[in-house]
Amino acid sequence: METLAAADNILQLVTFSLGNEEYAVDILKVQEINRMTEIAKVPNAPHYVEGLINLRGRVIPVISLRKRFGLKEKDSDERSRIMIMDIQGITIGLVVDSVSEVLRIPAATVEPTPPIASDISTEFIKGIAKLDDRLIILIDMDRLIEKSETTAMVEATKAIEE
Amino acid sequence: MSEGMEEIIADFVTEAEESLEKIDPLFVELEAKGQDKDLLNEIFRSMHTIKGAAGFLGFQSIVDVAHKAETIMKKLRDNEIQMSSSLISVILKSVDMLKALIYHIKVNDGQEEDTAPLLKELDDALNKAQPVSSVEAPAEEKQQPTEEKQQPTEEKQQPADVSPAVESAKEVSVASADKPSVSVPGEDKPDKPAVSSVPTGPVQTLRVDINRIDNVMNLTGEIVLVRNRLLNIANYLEEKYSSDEQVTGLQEAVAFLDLVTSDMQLAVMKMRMQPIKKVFSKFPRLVRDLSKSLGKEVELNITGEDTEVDRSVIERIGDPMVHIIRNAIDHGLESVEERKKKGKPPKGRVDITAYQQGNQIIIEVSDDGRGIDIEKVKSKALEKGLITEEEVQRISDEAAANLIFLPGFSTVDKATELSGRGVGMDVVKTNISRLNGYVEIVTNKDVGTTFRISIPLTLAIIHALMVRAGGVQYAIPLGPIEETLKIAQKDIDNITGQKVLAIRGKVYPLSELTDILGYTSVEHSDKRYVLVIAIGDKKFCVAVDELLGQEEVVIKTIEGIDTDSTGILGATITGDGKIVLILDPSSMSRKVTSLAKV
Repeated sequence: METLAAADNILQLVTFSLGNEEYAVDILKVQEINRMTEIAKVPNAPHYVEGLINLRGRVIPVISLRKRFGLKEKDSDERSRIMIMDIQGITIGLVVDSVSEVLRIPAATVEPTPPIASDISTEFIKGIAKLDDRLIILIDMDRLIEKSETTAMVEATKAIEE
Repeated sequence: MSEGMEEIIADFVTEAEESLEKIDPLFVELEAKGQDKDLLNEIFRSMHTIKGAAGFLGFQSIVDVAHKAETIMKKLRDNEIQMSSSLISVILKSVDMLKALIYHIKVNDGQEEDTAPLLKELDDALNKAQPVSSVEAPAEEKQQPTEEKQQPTEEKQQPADVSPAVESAKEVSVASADKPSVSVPGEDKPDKPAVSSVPTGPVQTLRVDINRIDNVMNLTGEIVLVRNRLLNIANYLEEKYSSDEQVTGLQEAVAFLDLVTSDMQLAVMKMRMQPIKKVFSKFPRLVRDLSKSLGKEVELNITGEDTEVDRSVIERIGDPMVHIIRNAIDHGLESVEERKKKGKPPKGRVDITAYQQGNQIIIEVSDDGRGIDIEKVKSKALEKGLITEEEVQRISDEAAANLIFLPGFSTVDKATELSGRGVGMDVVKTNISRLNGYVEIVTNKDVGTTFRISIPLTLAIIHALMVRAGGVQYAIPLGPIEETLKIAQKDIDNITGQKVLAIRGKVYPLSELTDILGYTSVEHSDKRYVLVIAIGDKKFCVAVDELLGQEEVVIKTIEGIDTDSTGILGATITGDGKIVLILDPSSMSRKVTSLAKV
């Protein structure tokens, strides 16, 4: 939310698409963007967890944003990308339909979320950026993973890491 | 703050923490031994070091507390006042306060502790302290005949040391006097390690940031994976071009790389090993405080504290052990009267032992208390719906004792302040299984209870059996696998919906691995391979399509997935870069039981 608070600032965002809508996340949260690779399934995981990928020797969970947002599923194609994100110190991959561009917009163009804004539930939305004829939905990365989940994960991670 | 200053403060925090950690057990020893001059001196010195460094860095609140505590220690050491348990308690409180203060500095949260009440308590304690009796110190008697006159006496003595009345400004200068090289902060470092290394002997050590070691560890893991790949490629080339000289050379080089890599992995692993003393040193204090507040007398014996374990074990084993020790003293040990009635010595015993057994580290916590009341455990579990009436009849005593590890179980009706904090023994089990370990209980009525924790020596590498089920490869830790069998579908019986397998006259529940993992509607071929897995006293069979062989695998952590609910310990990356999940046998055990109930 810090980025929103600093109203004078320019926001740097990475935009991507899911279905017909355009979304964006804070560029600082994005570590890298990869093509689809082999994903190992994880049993008994939440439905939106696609599985695990091998990121240069690290094992990283991958989440399907479509599934997370309750959108219709879609097979991956050559435009599909895995965005490697840093969410509260945990590295996670997000499967999106395609990644579009890096955008610099004044923070002032971001408006608070209208009650019914899009297909996805509003809890993940930070705000909406209006640009000429485009509407870009800003995602709150930290909310993507439920709070309790994150804490449990952070702990579990520490447990194994250390 | 400049980087150099931050470094100095970080050093101070580390050293102060180490000193304080050392002090705790000393106090407990002191209480047992009485006014032991050496012990008192050692505590005094630690306090003094902390005070000096804190003063130099300008942490006034630490200086205040340490100074007052130190004054008491000095008087105790010089036999000026009589040791009493209230005196010890208040000094222990100061130790706690110092820990809190240092913690604030460490995390740099800018928080302040209110030290005033404690400082007053320290003053009061000193004022009330009994002067040593005339026989022991006749010279003192004239100076401190009564309590009322003690105050002035104290002040008379102070100038020789440091007057508590002359506060901060002087304090700092005194502290700096301890360290002659105030203007050159770097220079005072060499003498500090010299002090701390006295008891450790001639072993030379180097303090390294743990992140660096972890980094080396991760890189080593990478090399291991590359080596595996190279091995595969070299083998392939040898098959194809067996007569080629270069290929033979490659084979030799790869074989050597293989050897060196394994050694390197071991060496890095050893870098992370630390004596378990780091954890154990907290227990004397814990036991003392517990026994005080519960009015029980407890004798604590610790052995094997030099046993080395992985750093992650050091960090994770503390809480479960504290829980077990609390339980042992709170529930296990009887009250003094009860013990007398039973003809036991009034002082209860708690033994903590650590040792290495093969590839496992064993940690035992035993008490000589009343033992676990099996019948009570059973009825409680029944009442809470954790087991069925029928199970109560069948269950072995050992298995019944293990019921206390079930979530939602607690034998004490009224939660006490000590043991009943809303977390049960299930947390103990969970924490330990996160370290790939397990707990066993041995309990005998009125003889005592032993909790035995087994943890693998290294957490980063495990021996695993590679299997294939439903077309996917999995790794299963070799430890709990008792045997593997090859059977046909017709060998599997079906008893009221539960698949079972008879092995040498005994019947065990059997589940397909794919069912356990929640992948239903998988076609199985007629030939089945069965793993017989034993977790605690539970034995069950898991059927897979194929056994691929035994391998040493490097466990890769999976961040971002709740591994408890998924039943996976982690993942490993094979030579060709594929991810293979490492399954958790104890979670399998739970799944098999729950599948059986359906």
